Amino acid sequence: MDRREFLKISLAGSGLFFCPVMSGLQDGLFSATPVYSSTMSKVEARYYAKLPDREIRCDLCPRYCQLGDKERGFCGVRENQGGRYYTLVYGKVASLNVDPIEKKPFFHFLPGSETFSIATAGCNFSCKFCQNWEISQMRPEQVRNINLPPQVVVATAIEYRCPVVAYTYTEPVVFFEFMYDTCVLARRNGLKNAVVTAGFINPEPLEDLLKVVDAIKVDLKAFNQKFYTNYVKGELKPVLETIRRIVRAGAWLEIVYLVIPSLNDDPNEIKQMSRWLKQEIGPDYPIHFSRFHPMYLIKNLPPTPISTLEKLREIALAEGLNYVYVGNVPGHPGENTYCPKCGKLVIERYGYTIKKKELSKGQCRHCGQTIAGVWS
Amino acid sequence: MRSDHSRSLELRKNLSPFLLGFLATSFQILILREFEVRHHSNELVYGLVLAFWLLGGGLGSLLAEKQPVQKIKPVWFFSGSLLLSSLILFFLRFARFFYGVLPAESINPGAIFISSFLISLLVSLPLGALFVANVFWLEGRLGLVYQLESLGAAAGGFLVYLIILPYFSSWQAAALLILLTGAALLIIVENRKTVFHLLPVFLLLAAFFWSFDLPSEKKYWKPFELLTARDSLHARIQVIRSGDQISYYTSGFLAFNYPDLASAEEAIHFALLQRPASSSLLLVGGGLNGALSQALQYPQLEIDYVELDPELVRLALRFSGQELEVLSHPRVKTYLQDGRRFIQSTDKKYDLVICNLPEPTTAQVNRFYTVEFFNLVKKILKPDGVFSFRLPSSENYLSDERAQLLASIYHSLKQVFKKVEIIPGDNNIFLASEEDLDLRLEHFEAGLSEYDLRTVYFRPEIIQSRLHPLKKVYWLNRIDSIPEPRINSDCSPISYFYQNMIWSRQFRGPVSQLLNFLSGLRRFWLFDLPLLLFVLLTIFISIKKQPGTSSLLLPVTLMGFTTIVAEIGFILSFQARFGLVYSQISLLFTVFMFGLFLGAAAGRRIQPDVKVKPLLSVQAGFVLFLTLARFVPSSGWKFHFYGLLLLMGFLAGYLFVVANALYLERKNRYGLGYALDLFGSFFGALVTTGLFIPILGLEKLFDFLLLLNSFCLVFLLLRFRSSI
Repeated sequence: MDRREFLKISLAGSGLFFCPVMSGLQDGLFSATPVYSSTMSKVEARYYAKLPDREIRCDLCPRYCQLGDKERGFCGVRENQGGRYYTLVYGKVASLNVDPIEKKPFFHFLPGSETFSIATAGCNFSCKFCQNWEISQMRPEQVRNINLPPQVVVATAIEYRCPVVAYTYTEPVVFFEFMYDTCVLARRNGLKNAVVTAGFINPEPLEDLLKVVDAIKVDLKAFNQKFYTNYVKGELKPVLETIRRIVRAGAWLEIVYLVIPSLNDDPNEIKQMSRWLKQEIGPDYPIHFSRFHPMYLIKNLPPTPISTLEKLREIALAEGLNYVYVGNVPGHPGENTYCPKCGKLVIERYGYTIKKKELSKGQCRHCGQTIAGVWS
Repeated sequence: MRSDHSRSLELRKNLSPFLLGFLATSFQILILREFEVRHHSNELVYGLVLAFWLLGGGLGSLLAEKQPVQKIKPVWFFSGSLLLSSLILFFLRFARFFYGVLPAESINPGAIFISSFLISLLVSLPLGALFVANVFWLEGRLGLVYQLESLGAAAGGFLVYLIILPYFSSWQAAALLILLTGAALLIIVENRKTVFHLLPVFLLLAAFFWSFDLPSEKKYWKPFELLTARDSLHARIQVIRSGDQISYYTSGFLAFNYPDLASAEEAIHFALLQRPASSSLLLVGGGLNGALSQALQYPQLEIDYVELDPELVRLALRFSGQELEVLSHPRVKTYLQDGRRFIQSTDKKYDLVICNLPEPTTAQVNRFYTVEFFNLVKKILKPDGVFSFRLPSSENYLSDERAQLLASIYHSLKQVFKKVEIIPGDNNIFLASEEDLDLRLEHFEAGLSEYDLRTVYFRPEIIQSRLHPLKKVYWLNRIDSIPEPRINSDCSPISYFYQNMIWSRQFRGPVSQLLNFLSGLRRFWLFDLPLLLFVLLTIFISIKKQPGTSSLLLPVTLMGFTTIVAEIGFILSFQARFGLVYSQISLLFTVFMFGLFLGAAAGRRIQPDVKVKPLLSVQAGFVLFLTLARFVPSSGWKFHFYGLLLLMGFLAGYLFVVANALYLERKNRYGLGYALDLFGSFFGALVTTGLFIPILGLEKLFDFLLLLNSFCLVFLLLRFRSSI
């Protein structure tokens, strides 16, 4: 089987591709049976400390899991084997798609681009509302994986003319080694790297990652620790630190705040969060107030009323943030980008589609104001 | 005077087992309903609760043998049971705070297992003990106690299901039952002074349940704003407000939101634009979220809308008044009845049938996804008509469990319709017809423009990504990767088993692994091996030289198993065939219990010296009955179900009394026979709904019962041949 054949077979089994260029390639490409694998990788993990009695401490995320022999961390994808720590998901892709970048969502980073999006099993959070729980809350042996080492990821992205590789769906931090190596290779080949994360990572690996990443979207789950404790099983403070460091390192940042009715939609909290963001990272990094669609353990809760999203958007704008969006509500005016100076429409969107762009070299065509972002 | 006193004493003693049956059945109904609402239950969970209930009863009757229960006064026994039942009802409402979960959040199977075990045991254990206590109070007349208990159970079922629940909530029903029991105790108890002392407690308890139904529900829903909660015949309906959006819940499941444009547009337009010039649409369920308004955008379309629960419609009109106009629109006709029953009985032909129903999490809903239902839909469609429904999924990944579920429904649909198309997404849209279907983007764009449809989510920008051919390729590849996909049918409802597997996968723990293991079991493990073990058991018992007590109690245990399994089988096939006709299903329970009463009465007339022959006869009766029952799932007559349940009750009551009378001639143990009957039922309840019916199917299940009972008959014939 040659490389091309391998790619075809792998992608046929798992990909949901939107690249218009692919339409001509479909015949013959998807006739093959997908090749799935339930085996795990055994690549030594980075960021861990060896302890006495073959124990180790994982230093990748603020959980600092201390593990005995044959034990796995909270994420379920990193294992201590005889005092050495291994990642079990290196090159083991559970989901891959070609998505519009607006789906991540990135609104100020190469709008209209296609991303080659990948994920492995596992997550270091346990959100009750996870959209991708069937992979994120599973161990690698519990899902259908495809062997896709970094070289193949990059080659495939190039082959399907995706300028961006996105690490998404589950929590890319838990497949750090695979993500990092792919990022290095992607950069070498002229591709950009975009990471979609909850931001629960320690400073050292984060700083290393920021050297090879172009854009990061952070899911800020709430602006209080109680929510993180009760519904996410995580901590807020390290996430805020991640946000600070991303901006300091000069990578592009966008923030998504999934609004769950009655659980994290307190206007006062949103006011405090907006103030904090303005003070710590400035007013120019976009924040998306996304609509919650009931999922996973709380699939019987009501979705977010659109009026709530509108109210929160107004609060954040009033607090001085320049780019505040309403997410998951196609056709809503809050999906569009408006110039913070003249107030005119700069980018009109409908769902993931760009309808109109009044932007020239990153500046508003109406008044010349620079619109923050990475536009080319 | 003396004679009057004796009669009064006799009446008091006879009323006691009647009250036991009445109390046990009525509180079992209320506790099961509350459990269902707070745990978002399906048949797997009902089976578990029922099983533990029966186990508790059995253990209680065994324990009572060893305790000097006859010394405990009836008033304390009944009052204690009543208080415990009330406490459990109260606990269930607030159980989520103990579990530490949000309102309506899915609950871990481990927590469900433990709570159903504890709850059932707490209530049913004393009730089981009370059965034996009654036998003591009635000087060992076990047959009479069984007979009167059955009558009480029939009366309790009838009163609660058909008279109280149509008008009152579960908690209000509990208040009424507490008062009724208090009044009954005044009659039963000789020393009324104790009852008078207890009356204030009963009154307070009743007042609490009567007044605190809504306030306690509000507490349950915090931090959400509960607008109202009502018990309808079919479910407990709760209405929640968040901002300008109203959410309607039925028994803890989110039924629909208003407004919900995304869902309404998705349900209607993909299907309608297949035949945009259609003149007739049948919409089954889910019209109140805005779907009817969407369908009315097609100017020539006449809509028949079927909704099961009138109370849900009434509340929707109250809180989402905008839809009032739609329901009274001249082109909309609303039918308040079961959707499947409507489809079965209508003579009308439709251009389109859209089922807008929840996923098949229960056997009740599963009957809208079976091959038999798809055939019914095909019959009412015009030759080029289109049928559509949706099933939730995940856009980024299809797990093995979900692929199995989708494959079972996809292949069932393909068995009936020539053309089946899928539009994958977070909701998979299924479209089926005998003629071609057009899923090209241009086709939908043309429809949008020609009919000037005012839509927000159903727009070319969104449709484009949904229709990408590669999504469909992935979907079909995953479905094709399922080896030997099972067909979902009324008699073998496998899809709801797969749905249970998806549910259990949400939690870490052994349940998911167990269900996965069970799904892979083949006929040998569930059918041949248990039969073989049963035969070995009969051989083991036969090795003893003389026909002993175990020979008499084996048919009792088997009867307990057979009756519960067959009863569940009858009700599920009745429901699949005739729809969710609440009052009639309640009547089925009552008819069975009344059959038990009649059977026990007949059994008590048999002379002690000729009881072996009647035992053999009644076991032969079971074999004949099961031969008949084998054909009931495919029978079209309601009368068959009522008749057979009455007959089965009769045989069971008769067998219990006769076998126990024989046993009591040999040993003086009042509790063992009853306990074994309940242990048999426990095992039956545990395996039937969650395992036997979906995996083996109803027909195989009746074959299994028939063979078990035939082996038992052969065993009895050989064992008692000298007595014949």
